[in-house]
Amino acid sequence: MRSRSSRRVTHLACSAALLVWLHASVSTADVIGSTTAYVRTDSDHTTVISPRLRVDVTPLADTRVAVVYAVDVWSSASIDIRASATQRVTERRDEIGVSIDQTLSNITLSGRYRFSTEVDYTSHGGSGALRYALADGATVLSASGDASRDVVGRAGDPSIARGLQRYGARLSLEQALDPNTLMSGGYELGVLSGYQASPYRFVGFGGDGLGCQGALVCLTEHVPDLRVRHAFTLQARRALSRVTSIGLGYRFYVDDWALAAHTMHASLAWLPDHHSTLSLRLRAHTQSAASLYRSRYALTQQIPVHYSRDRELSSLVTLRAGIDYVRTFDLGADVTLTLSSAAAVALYRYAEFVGLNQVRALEVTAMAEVRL
Amino acid sequence: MTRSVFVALLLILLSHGCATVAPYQRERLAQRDMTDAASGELRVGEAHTDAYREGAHGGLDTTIGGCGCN
Repeated sequence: MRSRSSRRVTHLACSAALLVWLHASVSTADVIGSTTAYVRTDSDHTTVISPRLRVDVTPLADTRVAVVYAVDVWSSASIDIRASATQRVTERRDEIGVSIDQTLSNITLSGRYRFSTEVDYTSHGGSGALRYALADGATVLSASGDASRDVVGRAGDPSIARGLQRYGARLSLEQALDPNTLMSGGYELGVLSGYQASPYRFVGFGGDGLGCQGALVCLTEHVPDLRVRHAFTLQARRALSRVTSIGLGYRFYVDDWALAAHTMHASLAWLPDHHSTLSLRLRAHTQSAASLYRSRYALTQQIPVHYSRDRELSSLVTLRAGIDYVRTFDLGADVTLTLSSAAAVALYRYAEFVGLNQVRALEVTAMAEVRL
Repeated sequence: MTRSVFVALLLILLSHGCATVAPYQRERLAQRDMTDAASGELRVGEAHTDAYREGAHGGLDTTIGGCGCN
């Protein structure tokens, strides 16, 4: 059943999108409307359906305003759910976002606000960014910051409402190295403060490692209140010919929970004609376990201060291969329709998570965009 | 090894800082495949999934909002 806050977000998003659209129609501004649907299903009995609607308008020559409304409908009977003695869970998340970009000569200022709600989680977030183009646009420096405040609850238990604050800052540099090569690098700092555990996740001590099964003591997980994250990225894209290009990217991540990760991605794009783009892509991610994570917790005389059964904190390898196709149709009178689709298969391998060695997933995205 | 490669690539990027590639020379860089137009809205779903299924976040991902712990 949809919550009252979900209905409010839906009405708010539709009203905002309608207002933006009407204003654009009256002022004959440039308008971009897009709708996207993302579907993911995996071998761990989890399905996600995420429709998304976005309207962009340019009410003034250098001003762009966008409204986004998105929904996640999530249904799962995963090992995590079953380990909590529950059969299947279905939840819905609604999100609305508003952003504005203002260009002042070679500087672009951006601001964004978003609100997300679900039955047991509420989040308000905002961000600001500055882009500074140098050398006739061959070099772009960017700086951004964001902050959010979440309230974590537990469905059916209104007494639980824990706060979580996130703060982030990012610096990046994009550079055209030559007429065929683009390169960028960046650093992102993230600080999370507050409740970062799940009120649904239980850790058994002295059991078989599968939640509370056979455990002598069973407690909800407990992790530190503070987490400081660092991410360094490098990306490059080079044209191989007039119609093909290759892209490479790498991210190194480390945090003060001793989790370190390497993420690499590569893509090959081809322009078969003036209206289409076909891309093949690969992504690989590997991470070490957080220092507080154990696949099993023995029942000793003293229970550790922090303990978790969160598989995202375990050592993990993820592989994804995907294909994208984008086709633009010219409808005349300066109107274009772009249809895009993406399909990917992903494999998650868990080396030290009791009850699950791997998950295979299929992801499909379809998008339609109209430019007026 | 990985750190060395990362530092080498970073030095290449910094050594080219503010290098001038004139606008008329950037025609190829502006084509659809170079701007990776298929990312953005088309990849939001996958990025959201990565943010919640992996322990690492930042740099490559979109700003996350809400739990959506799918």
